[in-house]
Amino acid sequence: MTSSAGSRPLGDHKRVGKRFIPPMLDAMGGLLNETPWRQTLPELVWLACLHSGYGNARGTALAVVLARAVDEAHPEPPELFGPVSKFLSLSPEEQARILLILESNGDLDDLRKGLRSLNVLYPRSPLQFITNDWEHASDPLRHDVEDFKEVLMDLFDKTSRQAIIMQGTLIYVAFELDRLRVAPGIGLAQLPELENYPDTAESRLVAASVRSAVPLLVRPPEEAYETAWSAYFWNRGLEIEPCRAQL
Amino acid sequence: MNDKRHPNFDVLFAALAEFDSNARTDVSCRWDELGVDITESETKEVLGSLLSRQAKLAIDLVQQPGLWTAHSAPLFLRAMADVHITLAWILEHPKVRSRQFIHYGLGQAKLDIEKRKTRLAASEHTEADEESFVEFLESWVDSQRYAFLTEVNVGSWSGASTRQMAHDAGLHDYYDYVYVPFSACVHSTWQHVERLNTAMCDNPLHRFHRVPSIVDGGRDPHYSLLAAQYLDETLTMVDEAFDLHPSCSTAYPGLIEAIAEYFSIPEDEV
Repeated sequence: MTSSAGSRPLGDHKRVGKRFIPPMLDAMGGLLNETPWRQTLPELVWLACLHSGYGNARGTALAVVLARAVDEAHPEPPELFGPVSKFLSLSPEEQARILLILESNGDLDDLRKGLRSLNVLYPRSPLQFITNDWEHASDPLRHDVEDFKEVLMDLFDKTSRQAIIMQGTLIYVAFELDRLRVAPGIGLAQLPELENYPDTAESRLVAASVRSAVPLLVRPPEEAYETAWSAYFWNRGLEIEPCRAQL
Repeated sequence: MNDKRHPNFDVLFAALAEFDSNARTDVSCRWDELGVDITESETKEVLGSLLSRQAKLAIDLVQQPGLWTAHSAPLFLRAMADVHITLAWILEHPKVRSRQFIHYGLGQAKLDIEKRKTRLAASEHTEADEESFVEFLESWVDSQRYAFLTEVNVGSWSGASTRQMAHDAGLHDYYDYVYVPFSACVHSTWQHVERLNTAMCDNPLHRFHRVPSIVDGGRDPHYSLLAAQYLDETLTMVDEAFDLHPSCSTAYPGLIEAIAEYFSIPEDEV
């Protein structure tokens, strides 16, 4: 552990009255405009559900299929339907068109199975329209809770393999829908290298690029309905399994 | 009831009780050696009161193993650090600063009285006890200095922060490594309550939030030794300030011996 530069404690901090500002915070003008991981995670957890159900390759393919279906059904497609709260902006007619598209290309059933746990545990899930009226989307079962907890547990560390794959999938969807373009040679252009994460140096560099890029795609919510999902997601957890003080 | 006790349990408690009498002796013999100069009574009275206070804080903590926890012991130890710094600062200019210390205290009592009287006047129902208490406080102040001649200072009693007082008295490290760390417990700030009064919920659905808890870290006899050490340091400071050579000073070493002996007994003999 190293101490601050110089022999004085906090020697590298900028003093403003009685406050000592760390160098990085000072360089950024005192404010960090970053979406915290606890807000980003609920937006992307649906991707991890698909990976958990079908493996990384098929799970990613299903995410792309859904995003393409939205593009086809949604009149103004510039939005990236990766952060899940974006799906709340779909009208009932658009939702119905998306379901028809998914059914016609044979992917609806897989998507329903992959998103089942999320939707039965979180009734206000923005992807509820995928499993509405589906005979197997009944009340949550015990294994739904345990399965979902297992998925979630791996994602709290945003540098874990599954968290990186989840974030990488968002980038991949953005590439596939032409929402993101990068110059060849930069980290994000080597996205397939994530398959080797974290075992190779190159995969770790790509992962770092992915982590840097994700906040740009999951921006701080601008609409009221977008802020609601993250808060609902975490508070719903306390309804699914109540918590007690340890006194 | 389980009568199985540590074989030296009574010995330990006898040693803790002995600390009480030894600590009192430590203060008494210094007071005796200082002598009493009635013309300098304020200085000696402040000195004696703070030494007595320091001894009592140490005695109370040493004698209550239930308080030898991170929850409670720092409340005493921080108060002892405060006494030590206060006394050190006073000893820099004992006559002037002792008077300052006394007058500030009288002013605070006067402020307390005025607030109570205001509340009593505004209240429809007053308790006789409360009025008697106000009269008692008024008598207490007047017995030392008439209230109408007593100034009230709502700033710090010394005109300086505790940090500045410590620095003026050459106690920089004492302030940084004794006074400040224990302040977290006294003020129940986050760095104290997060570690001792919360636990992390291990449910991922709850985002690993913190829930109320009372962390049981057990009783650490080291806290009792710290109390004895701080008393010893204050007594040593007074010895040096007045060039005293007391024949007493048995409390701290005696406690070390008792604690070390008690806690080093092998577990298979318990």
